[in-house]
Amino acid sequence: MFQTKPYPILLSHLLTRPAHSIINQSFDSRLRLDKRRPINGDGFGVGYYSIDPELEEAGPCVFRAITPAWNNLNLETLAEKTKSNLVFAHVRASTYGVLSETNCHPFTFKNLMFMHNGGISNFNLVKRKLINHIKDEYFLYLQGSTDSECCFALFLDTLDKLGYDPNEGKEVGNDALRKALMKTIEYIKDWTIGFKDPSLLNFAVTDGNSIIVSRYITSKTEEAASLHFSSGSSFVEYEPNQYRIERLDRGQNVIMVASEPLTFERGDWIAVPTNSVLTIKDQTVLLHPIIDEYHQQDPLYSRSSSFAESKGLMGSVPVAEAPDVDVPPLEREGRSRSLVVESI
Amino acid sequence: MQSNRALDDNPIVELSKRLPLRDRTSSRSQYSPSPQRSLKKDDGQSKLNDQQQLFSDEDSNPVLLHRWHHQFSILSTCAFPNKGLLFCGTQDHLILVFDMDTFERKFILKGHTGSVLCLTKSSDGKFLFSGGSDSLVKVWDVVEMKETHTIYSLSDIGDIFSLAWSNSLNLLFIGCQNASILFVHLNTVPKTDPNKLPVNRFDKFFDSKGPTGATTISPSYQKVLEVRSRLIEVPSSNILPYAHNGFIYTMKFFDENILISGAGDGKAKIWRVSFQGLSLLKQLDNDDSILSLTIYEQFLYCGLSKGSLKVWDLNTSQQLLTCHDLDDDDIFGVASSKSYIFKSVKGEVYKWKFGSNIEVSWNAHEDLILSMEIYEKDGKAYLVTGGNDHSVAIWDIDDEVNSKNHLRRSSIITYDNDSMLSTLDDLVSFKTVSKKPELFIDESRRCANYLIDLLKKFGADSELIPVEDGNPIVYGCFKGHSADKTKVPPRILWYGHYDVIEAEENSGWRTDPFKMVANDGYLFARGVSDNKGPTLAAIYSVAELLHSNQLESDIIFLIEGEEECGSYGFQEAINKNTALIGHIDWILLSNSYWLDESTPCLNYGLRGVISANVEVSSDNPDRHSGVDGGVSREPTIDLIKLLSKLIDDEGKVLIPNFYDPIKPLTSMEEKLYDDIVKKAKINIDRPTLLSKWKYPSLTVHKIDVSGPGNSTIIPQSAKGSLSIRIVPEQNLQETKKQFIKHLEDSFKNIRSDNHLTIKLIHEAEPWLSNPSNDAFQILRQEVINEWNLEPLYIREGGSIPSVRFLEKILDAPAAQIPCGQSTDNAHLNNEKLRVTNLYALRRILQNTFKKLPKRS
Repeated sequence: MFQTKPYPILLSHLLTRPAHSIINQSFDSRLRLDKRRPINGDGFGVGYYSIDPELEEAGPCVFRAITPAWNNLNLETLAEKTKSNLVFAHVRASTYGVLSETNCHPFTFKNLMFMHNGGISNFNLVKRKLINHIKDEYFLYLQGSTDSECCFALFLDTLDKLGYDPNEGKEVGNDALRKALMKTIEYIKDWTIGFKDPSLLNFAVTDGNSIIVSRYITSKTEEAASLHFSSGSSFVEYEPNQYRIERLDRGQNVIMVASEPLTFERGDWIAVPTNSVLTIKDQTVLLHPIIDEYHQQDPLYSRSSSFAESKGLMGSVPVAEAPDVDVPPLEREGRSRSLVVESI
Repeated sequence: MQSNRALDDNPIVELSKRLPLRDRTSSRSQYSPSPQRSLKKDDGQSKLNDQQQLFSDEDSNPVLLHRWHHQFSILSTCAFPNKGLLFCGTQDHLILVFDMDTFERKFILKGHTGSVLCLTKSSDGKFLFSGGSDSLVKVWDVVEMKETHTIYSLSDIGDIFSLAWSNSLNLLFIGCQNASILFVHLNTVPKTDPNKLPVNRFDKFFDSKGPTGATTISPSYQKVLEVRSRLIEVPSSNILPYAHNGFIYTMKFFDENILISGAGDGKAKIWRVSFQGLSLLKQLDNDDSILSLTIYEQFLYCGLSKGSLKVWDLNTSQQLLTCHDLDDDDIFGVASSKSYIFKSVKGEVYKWKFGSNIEVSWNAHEDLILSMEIYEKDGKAYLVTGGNDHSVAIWDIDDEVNSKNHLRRSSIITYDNDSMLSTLDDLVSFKTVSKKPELFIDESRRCANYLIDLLKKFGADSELIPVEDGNPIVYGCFKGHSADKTKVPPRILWYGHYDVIEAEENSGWRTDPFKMVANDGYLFARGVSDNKGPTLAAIYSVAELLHSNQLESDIIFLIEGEEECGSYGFQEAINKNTALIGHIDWILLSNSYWLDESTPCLNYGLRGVISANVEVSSDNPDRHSGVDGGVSREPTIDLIKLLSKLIDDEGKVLIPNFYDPIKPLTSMEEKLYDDIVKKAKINIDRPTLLSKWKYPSLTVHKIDVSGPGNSTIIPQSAKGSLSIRIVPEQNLQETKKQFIKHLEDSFKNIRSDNHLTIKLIHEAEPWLSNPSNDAFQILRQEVINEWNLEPLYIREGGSIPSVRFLEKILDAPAAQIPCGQSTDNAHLNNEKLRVTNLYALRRILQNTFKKLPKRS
């Protein structure tokens, strides 16, 4: 997901053009790490808030399709002609639920928008508990068959019970959103206790102003699904399809959060720590830990990814190759302006 | 571009909550721009020549000393004035070193592989520390100009935004993008394998293979194969994850062991640091992200996103001021020198002085200012600014830093009267005008701090008691040592105040009111008599007793800073701190004057006060009497009618039952009053004295009307300000109720369709003590010994709100011994105090503190 102020960004700068854009991620996913099928081909979705205040009222615009993202011409053309300040995008590799548009992320409810990367383990054992827990109106909201959509319904219900009625379509504020998301995670965590396999709960939710993203796993030793963020004063294309974040001051005009970095600029991306929540509030990134039985005290504790590998959900990690020492001595960071000058 | 503007014009100075509460008005000084003069510098390279306009306001003259240019943004600066060097961290990974005398670029330090975001130095000036977007800290020996250490962490810390060096612990603190603070000792066992560096480490994503089986590498990526300096890895135990919940943009040391960090989560956290790391003491919530902070004396200035600058008092953790820029632009930098506060907003620097409403700004850079700091050299202060217009500039900000510094006065402790006078000289130089916090809040805080230091220096336990929205109370406790260990020592409380009434030079003062002048046996300055002089006499008398091992009682000092504002917040603050004060046997104070010039007095009674604003307002706006005169009842006439119902033609107060509680004059009282009339060397008779002291009174202070006030207007509202001085027999609450009821009834009786509003401004209980108790008897004896005169027992018509309150809450009787003479001019121009009286009070108190027993 992406947020920028004061200038809206053209969607193609995020979705189609960068070296590891979401389209490229749909056929070249690096961190799914499934050697046999590193592909997110089960549909995609893009949601964004209009910059036209008259259109803002009705919540975000969502464009979803069951075709693979790389095969969708509409996505290419729309992305070239659409601007927004806040964009969610998702490419799907189904873990639960059939291939249908109603199962594609992001999900919306009034002004709220929600996505999920991961899965609830043994969801068939949890579904009944979840459905019984939520109010009728959120049960009736469900249109698809995925665990992710149920999680959104649970989130809406949690928000409602905290005293923020989602039907009002108002901005909820970062504190309440974060509280509701953490509570949602806590419910799922409690309902899945004792299951052999951990659940992967990377959620993203926004009210059109603040964004909350979690990186969470119900395990003390395993690693959660990946999540990275990058922030700076602008996102610039310094060579065709080569983008980088420029960080000149402490302002965060551009903030990107993504399961996989959009670029291969190493210094531009930082991992969101496992079992924590990232908040974007007024163009500022905040990080809060989720402290429960799965929290690790030691900041250098190295979680394993063997669970995911054994289940085939994630492939084994490719072994690092010896670096090519003959690479020309370019500025490694790629953040020096000289490169821009050269490309002009 | 330049602009001079009054603070109430554009940036808003909010006095957090306090103005409405206290009915304080901020001064509305209008600033008229003075003729501009521009100064050209012979700097052919400078693109900013046109903009180097300076100010003729002689108080604020930033002169550009030099500007250097580079090809990339200047992100951080660090000045080494002793070496005459300025270090600048750049966007293109370099540290530029400039000579501040010859203005030449002397060196370029290369080592980082990312932007150099922050710089700091060791206080001995030998080392420079730099942190970058490459997640590395480098240490540089600035004598050899070479890299000595490379510090990295195995956790993904992101950019390094801030660094702070503790000289006493030899520890470096590192503030990171992932909200953690790391700390590291430079002597940590070095590592040898550079493969653990963040740029070299295997990364699941960046070292992953694409569909073709090849790794995608950014064209600019390069591994670091060799590190030429000591390689240090921050151990896991030295990482404080989630020290904040946002990027840690700034860190500064307050003193040796107190570190303050500011972050994107809006919190300023105050940490105690030790070899074990950090323990959180307090946090101050600023709402918006803290982008920069600076500390001067005990004040913390936080520059925030969205345009606010917040000022905190670190001694009491109270927020003093918020200054907001109406454009909501982020404040990237703040810096403070002795007299000024500087903030950078976009390319402009704003220079601002506490107490002057004028803010000066100038355009220092063409785009954003990314770093700002102040350094001192040869007794003068300079400002360094670096920006993303690829330049760094030095400004002479015209501030003498080596002038008198109160807090660093001599460390030699002396107890004699000369020392007392020089301390009083310091004390009156603080403009502690409590009625104008918008101008003098910092002076009051500094004065409170000075008193704390003084009490501590003399051996007292001392701390500040915070007052919500007010100046803090200075608490001090001198512990007595009795030879008889089983005896519980008497505990005596001294009440005084350090705030003063406003005073302006050239408004009838012959000298600067805040500079003590000694002439013909008198000291002249605001506050010498009311109440800094007498308070200091008490402190010195106890300090000397303690020093000479003669102090057997515990003496507790409560010196407040809001007495002249009706002891605002005093009661709440004391209520919260009764445990700190403990049991008290006697309360002493000296906050009044003799009746004449030559006869010492003891004061045993004060009148109380109820002040109120009474307003009559109409539903109609201000109107023209020619157009609307006669149409309806007018507020001003209603108010006059209403006020006329308060006093009869003989001057008696008409509030029902007003005089009922007052007891007739006893023969003993008669004798006291006659004694005064006989002995006091003033022309006064018994009825006058009785009216002043024994009987209550009612005064109308002011009548105001709305509108422009010319003679054709029917004002929409009229407001009267009045007060009642009540006497000890009267019940404050009862009298207040009767007063309000009488006003409301009278207003009903005039049957006006206008509206009446009564607002109580302030109240104080009257006080009457027993002049035959131990305290008064001992004071009397000591006065006789000192002056060879029998003191007069007097009461006063004025009020001190805290006296009766302290008596009640501490369950101890109070006694007051006036210090100065009737001609002291407290609250008036040319306030003065006779030196003889000050010294005499000191001796009287010294003996009284020795002799006053426990109350039986």
